Amino acid sequence: MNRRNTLLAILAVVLAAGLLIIPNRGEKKEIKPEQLLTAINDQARFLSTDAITERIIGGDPTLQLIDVRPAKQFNTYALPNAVNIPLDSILSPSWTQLLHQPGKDKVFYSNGDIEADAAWQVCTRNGVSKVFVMKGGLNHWYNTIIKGIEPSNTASGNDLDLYSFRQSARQYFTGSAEQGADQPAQAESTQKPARVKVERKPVEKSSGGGC
Amino acid sequence: MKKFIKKNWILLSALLLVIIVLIILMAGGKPDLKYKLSPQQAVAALADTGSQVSPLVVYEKVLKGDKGLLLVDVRNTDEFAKGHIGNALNIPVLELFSKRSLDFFDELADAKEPVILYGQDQLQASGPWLLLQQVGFRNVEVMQGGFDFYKQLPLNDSVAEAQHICWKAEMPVLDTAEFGKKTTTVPPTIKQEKKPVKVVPVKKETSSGGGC
Repeated sequence: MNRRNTLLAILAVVLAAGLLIIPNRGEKKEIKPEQLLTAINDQARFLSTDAITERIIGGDPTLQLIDVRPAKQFNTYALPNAVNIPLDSILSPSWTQLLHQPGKDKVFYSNGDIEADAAWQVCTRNGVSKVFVMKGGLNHWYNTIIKGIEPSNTASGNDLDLYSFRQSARQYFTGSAEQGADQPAQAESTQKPARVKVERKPVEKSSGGGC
Repeated sequence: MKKFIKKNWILLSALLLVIIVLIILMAGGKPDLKYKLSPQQAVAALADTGSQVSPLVVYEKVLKGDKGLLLVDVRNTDEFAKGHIGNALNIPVLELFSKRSLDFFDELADAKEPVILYGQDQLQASGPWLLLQQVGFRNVEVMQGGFDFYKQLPLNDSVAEAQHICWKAEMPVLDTAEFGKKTTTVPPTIKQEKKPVKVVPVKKETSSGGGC
């Protein structure tokens, strides 16, 4: 009988030791590399600039834009209601609450989409859900909505709808329906002889951008 | 001894079973990929621009037939078949963690050889690049611009300038300071000697788009 008890004891100890040794599936929130790879391959995280613009104009309360550019760029111009979280401080505890806010779609954007996507990946690894990336970034938003792309003569109905949507969006952002501002604006006056031509500075020739 | 075993064979076999199961769990089975970088280290790796390779540099190396150039195309096999850069190897994104792929990266990491990832656009490769960094492959780099840009090379400088073809994805297109000013402008009023003339910019009519 003693031997039996000893055996039982040994069994119990071995089981206990086993529980300790088996690798700790500890990090509950962090997702495994293989899962992250699958998530990276999934294009569902990308939201188009048009979709985001629509939500901005509509005042969608579930939209939370997060600008991952350096503060200096953010302060010069940023999309309405965007919050600035520079890429290098994405993991800072001060942002945890914002990032984990339920019921809101957190959409990262940068000038392009590379940095926004990096922010997305870091957050996704840490188990943050409902994070998205604005495809094309601020550059694409600017090129399509503010600067505008004239549809060709053979454009489909959908293309034309998209174009007029973008034009009204431009009006929302800049208060002007003019595209590109290549054309000098003509002035009207109450006096017939006095006609003043106002030249607007063309906006495409950006001094700050380019390669 | 034999008597002992006979009497307690249930317990003994249970013990044996448990020990075997433990051994299997610990040693056997497919070893899980582990992160070698903490999330903080991953963020720090992002700031390192040395891992980003200019497509122009790649182009030069391909022209010269540089043997040290190792390219991995992460697009799917169909796209790869239609056209790819130089002697690139094709490892579609989802296969990056296959045994063949991991062995490949392991070998290169041991030899400390750099390998450059590229995709259809830079975005397709930058995600995998960051993930590979995190699982410990620090020798992996990413080509900027993607295949979309590369296939246009060699590019005439003036053409590139005119069409704003840029492979630096994060370079701001707009001069945001100028843009910021523009969005708050009010049409200027111009005073004439006798009577002030208010200048109203004529709004361009949006085209109806034609139609039936």
